[in-house]
Order: sequence, then structure tokens, then C-alpha cells
Amino acid sequence: MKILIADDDPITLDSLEACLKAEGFEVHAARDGQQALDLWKKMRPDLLCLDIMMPKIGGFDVCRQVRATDPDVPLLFVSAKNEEIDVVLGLQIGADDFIRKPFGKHEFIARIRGMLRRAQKPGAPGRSFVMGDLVVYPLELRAERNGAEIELSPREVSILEHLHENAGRVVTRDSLLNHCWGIDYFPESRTLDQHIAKLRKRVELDPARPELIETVRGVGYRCPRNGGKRSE
Amino acid sequence: MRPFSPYWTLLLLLAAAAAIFAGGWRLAKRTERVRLAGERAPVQDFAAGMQRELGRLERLYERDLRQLARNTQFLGEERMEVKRQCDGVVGVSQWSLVHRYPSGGKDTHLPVAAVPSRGLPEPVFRINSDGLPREHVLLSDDDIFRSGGENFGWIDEPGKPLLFWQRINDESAVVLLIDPAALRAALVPWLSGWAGVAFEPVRAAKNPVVATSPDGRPIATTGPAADGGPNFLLPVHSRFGDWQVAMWDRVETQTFYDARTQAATIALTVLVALVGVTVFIQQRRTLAVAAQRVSFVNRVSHELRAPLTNILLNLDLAADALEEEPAAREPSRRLAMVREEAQRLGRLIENVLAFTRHERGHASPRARACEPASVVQAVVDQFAPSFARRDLSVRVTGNAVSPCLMDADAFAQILSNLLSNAEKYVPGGAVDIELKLADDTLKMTVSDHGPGIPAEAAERIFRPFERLENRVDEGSSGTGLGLAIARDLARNCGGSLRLVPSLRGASFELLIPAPPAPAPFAVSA
Repeated sequence: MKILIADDDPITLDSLEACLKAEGFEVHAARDGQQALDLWKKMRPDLLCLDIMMPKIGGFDVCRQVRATDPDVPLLFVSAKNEEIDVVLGLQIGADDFIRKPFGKHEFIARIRGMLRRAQKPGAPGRSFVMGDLVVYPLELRAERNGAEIELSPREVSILEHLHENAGRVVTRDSLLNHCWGIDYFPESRTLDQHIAKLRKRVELDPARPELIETVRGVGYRCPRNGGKRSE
Repeated sequence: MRPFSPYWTLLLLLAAAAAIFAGGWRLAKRTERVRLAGERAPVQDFAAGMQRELGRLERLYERDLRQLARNTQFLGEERMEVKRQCDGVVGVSQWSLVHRYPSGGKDTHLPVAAVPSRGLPEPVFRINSDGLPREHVLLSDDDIFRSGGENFGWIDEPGKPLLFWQRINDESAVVLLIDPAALRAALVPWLSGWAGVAFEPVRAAKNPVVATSPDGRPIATTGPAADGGPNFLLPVHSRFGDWQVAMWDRVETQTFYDARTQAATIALTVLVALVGVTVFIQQRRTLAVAAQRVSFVNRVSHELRAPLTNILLNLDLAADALEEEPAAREPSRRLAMVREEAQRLGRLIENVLAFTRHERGHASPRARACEPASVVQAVVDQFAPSFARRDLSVRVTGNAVSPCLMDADAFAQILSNLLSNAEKYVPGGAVDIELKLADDTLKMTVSDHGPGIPAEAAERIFRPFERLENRVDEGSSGTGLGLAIARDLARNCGGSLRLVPSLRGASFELLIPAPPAPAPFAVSA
């Protein structure tokens, strides 16, 4: 999923980019409003995350121009401005949400996930696949087990999807890294293992004895063939 | 509370100045009814002219009567001819031929106009009673037959009808009985026509003037007569009655102002207006200074948010990176502490901003759908590491899981401030949060097992910058704003926050409106 972020503070921009990339989102960063508009026209992201006070073109004006042609794309304002009038104005001109500084990574990611989930057309049958007693909805970044909802990052969905497509077969570490991180990415050796460990905590009933993501020592990971079948 | 605008003060004092000016001007105003006599000369000229005109008409009438008498003096037997000729002269009601001596013959009396029931008075030199009831007018032969005098004349003595006589010879005379009323009736239109021109100078005088006949019929008038008797009356005498020209004074209401009252009014008005302007300028200066201070605090607080966000984001990223490293437990613990402090700094900034917003009167609730229990849990999670180090535990009980409409940010800030209070002053033990959602109201009670707050300080602790112990070495940090802001936020949302009596520790009770959220809704924690 592509997310466009725009902020004139380079550290904020870098931090937000790192948070989103860590979750597996494809991130496009802009330093000002004009750059944000250019990137939006070129990349057509799934979500826009805009600062209000930016050089050249302000966040409100970017929002107005985006809304003039695309009324549906989720748009989130990130700002240190905290006055009610700013929030009301932002929501009135078409923003879907407003997150006020200061905030942490988890709140930020939760807002992004919530917006993407709400952006799904209500009533539209979302694509899903089954792994054991787990139903995964890739477009909605979530999974369900016995009615309980589990939030997932794009990267976690990508890992589960890749393992499910190769159910019963061993998926090598390189294959997973190429598929889920990109072919040009050279992660540290423990990056994949850390992600798998976190994912097991989310989706396994007992992370110490995993049933959905088995470790094949020295090679990679495997989803048992009885992990279920894909449904549309 | 929103500060009173200096413009209102200025407006109020300028309005007071305007009221003083209007009232003073009204007090200075004096009115007086003045009689204006008007110019009397035109009226006198008119009356003199009228006198002359009446004299001229009288002479003309006299000439006509003499002519009638001469023409009829020998027609005593031709009654019809006498009557016909008498009809040609206005006002003749009876023609009589009278004799000085009885040997001259019998007197003749010919009524010309309609005879009243009692009959017309008959002029005679002596009264011969023939048994018939008649009214007689006794003539004096000395007046009529006086040698060397005029051979005609008038008998207009008081108590007698108006008679005109014309001597025929030394023994006989024609006597005409004149009806003055008929004559006056004929004169009124004539004089009215005459006054059309002669009255113009009187009209120019503007005072009410009326010229009337002896019967009271108006001949000329400037308009309706004024009330009361005339102030200037000129009689115009004639043989046919007394006419009159009456003039009334003009009454006008004149207004003038008392100079001393006016001067006092102006001085007081200027004084109040100057006070208004001075107070306005002073208030604006004071507000400008206050606004600059608030604006500075606001800007600084805003500027602190961006780096604080960067600190929190990168702390989270670093913590995530270290999460699965067994060797990094201590760095992770240190990072968690840094995060706690950053969050505390964030709460401090929020409190300062909330306080400045309240000072400027800009605070207003932002109700949205949320689950109170989720908001509480999110706040409790923030405090969890810090509470754990202080041997504090939080127990949340209650039923507030239904979605409702409330200002979740304000609610979270109120709870944060209450928990922050416990964090500072409670050495250990449980902090109980009890939630109860009923009748569209959320009741939250936060109780601890700390040293408690004396009952006499129950209100004082909610005042800004107030702390139970204001000594710098008391051992706890804090600005003294937390509880004040929490109460302001609660009131701003239409609720209340108070310290309730408890057996042990401090217990705060928050009541806040929380109507059910319409479904479907977007819940945010």
C-alpha cells in the first residue's frame, strides 16, 4: 500500500517514513505542498498524510486540490496546531482525520490502519484467505479468529500471503525477504526472525508451539498444507 | 472566562456619556408661552375704513328714503303704488302719512312688509283711542316742524323703532318705519365684498382678527377666532347697529436653554467620555500584554510539540528494533523511561495550552463517538510503567463500554491529570477507577490510598497554581495547574469535578454528559 507523507520538518518526515516502512508500507515523502501534489498526481497513493504548515502550498490547499478530483482517498492531517478551528477547518475541507502532535508510532500507525480499514467500500466483499482457524483480509490489514479481530501491518499480511501461497512447501529466507522487503533491500540477519516472532505473537494461539508458521531450521519457514485454502 | 472586551467598556461609557448629554440637555430646556399683541394699526385702519363705508351707505340710503318719501307724499289714496315704490327700497316695513293737527285729516299707515301678529307700531302726534289695540310711537312735532331745520330726519331714540321722516309741509309728514335687521342683512354681503380688499393688510398682521355685524355674522376673518375674549376690540357705530372689529393676541411657545445647565452637561459628558477612552486604552494595553504573554506561551508550546513528536516516534522505532534482542533489555528499559518522561512532557504542554486556551476563553468541547472504557485504558496504559516503578496498581471497574458522544481528548486529559496527581503524591497501593454510565451521564470515581486531602482544602486544590504544600522542598514536582485544568475541562464539557469524602486517601468524582452515540459511528480511543 502506497502512502504519501508531506512535512517540512526533515526529522519528522524521516521518522514518519521509518515508522510506515517498518510496517511494510510503500512510502513517498514530500518536503512541501507542491512536491506533495506532484507526487500525488504521479503515484496516486492509497492514503495522504499532510502537515498543515508547509512551504509553497499549505496542507489545507493541498487537501482542497486533492479533493477536487478525488473525494475518496483517505487524507490525514498531522499538525502541531491544536486549536479547534484548525481541526474543524481541516475536517470541513475534506480531511478524514486529524492527529495532533505529540504522538508516538503506535498511535500513528493505528490511525493509518483505521483510516485504511474505513476506506474499504462498505459491503464490498473483501478478498480473504484461510490459514487454519485464521481468516486473513489482506486489503483491510486484519485477520479474524473466532470473531476476534487481529490488526496486521502490510508486511505481516505480505508474509502470511506468501507462506499461504506456498502452503506445504518450504519458503526460504531469501524468498521471503525478496517478496516482502524488496529485492534491493539488504536487511540485517535478524530482521526477518524478529518480524516472524512478532507475527507469531499476533496470529499463533501458542507462539512457543507455532502451527501456522513453522520454522525449517537453516532454510526458512513453512505453512502446513492444512493451513487452509484461499477463498474469494 | 472570556475577558471583557475593552470595546464593550468603551461602548458602555460612551453610551453613559450620551445619556448624560441627552438628560442634561433636556434639563436645560425651558419653554414659555408668550403673548404676541401683533400690529394694531392695520386693524384700526380697517375699522376706520369700515366706519366711513357705513357712513357712505347710510347717506345713500337716506337719499333713497327721501326720494321715496317725495315720490309718495301725494299718493295717500293709491296704496298699491305706495307699496310698490316702498318695495324698491330695502328695509322699509311701513309707510305712514301723519298730520300735525287733527284738522289735517286722518293719519295713513300702510304696512309694506309682512305684518307681525301684534301689528306694526304706528307713528302719531297724538294718541286717538279708537278702541283697537295698537302700538304707537309718539312723534314730537317740535323736531319735525321746527322752522329753519332740515325737512327730513331720523327718530332713533332708545326704546323706539327706527323711523325716517320727510316733512311735506308745515302740517304733514311722511314717516317710514325701517327694519334694521333687514337692512343689516342686505349690508353684510356688501360689506363682505368691500372687506375683500380692505382686509388684506389685517391678514398680513397674522393675529386672529374677526369683523362682525351687529347680529354676530362675520364679514371678514383671518381664520377661526381664538378662545376667550378679544384682546383688542374696535366698535364701528352706525344707525343700523353697532358693528365690531375684534383682534386676539397670538400665543406662541418659545424654547430656550439654561446656559449653566448646558455648560455642566457638556463638562460631565466630556469627562465621562474621556474616562471611557482612557479606560479603553488602558484595557487594550493590558490585554495586549496578556495576549503577548499567552501568545508566547502558546508558540513555545506549539514549537515543543514537533520535536517531542520526533522524540516519541524515534523512541518507538528504537524500542521496536531492540525488542527481540535479549542483550538489549537494559537499553530497552532505559528507552521506556525516556518515553515516559517524553509523555509527561507532552502532558505538561497540553496542560499549559489548555490553561492558555481557558485564559483566552477559547476552550470549547469537541464531542465525538468513543468508548469511555477504551479511553480510560489508553490513559492507564501510558501510566503503567511509571506506576509499576512506584508500586502503584490501577483497577478499572464499571460498565462504560457503550459508545457515547463526549470530548474524548478532554476526558483523557482529566484522567491523566488525576492519575498524575496520584503518581506524585501516593507512595504505593491501588488506584481505583470506577466507571458508571447511566442517564446519559458518565460518572468516574478515581480513588487512591495515599495521604488524602484535608476537607478544608477541597476547593482550594482546584485553583490554578495552588498546591497543598507550596514549599520548594516538599519533594514533589508539579505546576499546580493539573486539578484546575481538569475541573475547567469538566465544566467546559458541561460536567463537574470535585473531591468527595473518603475514608482513606483522596477520591475524585467526575460527572460528564455522555449521551449514546448514533450508530453507525466511528469509535476512537
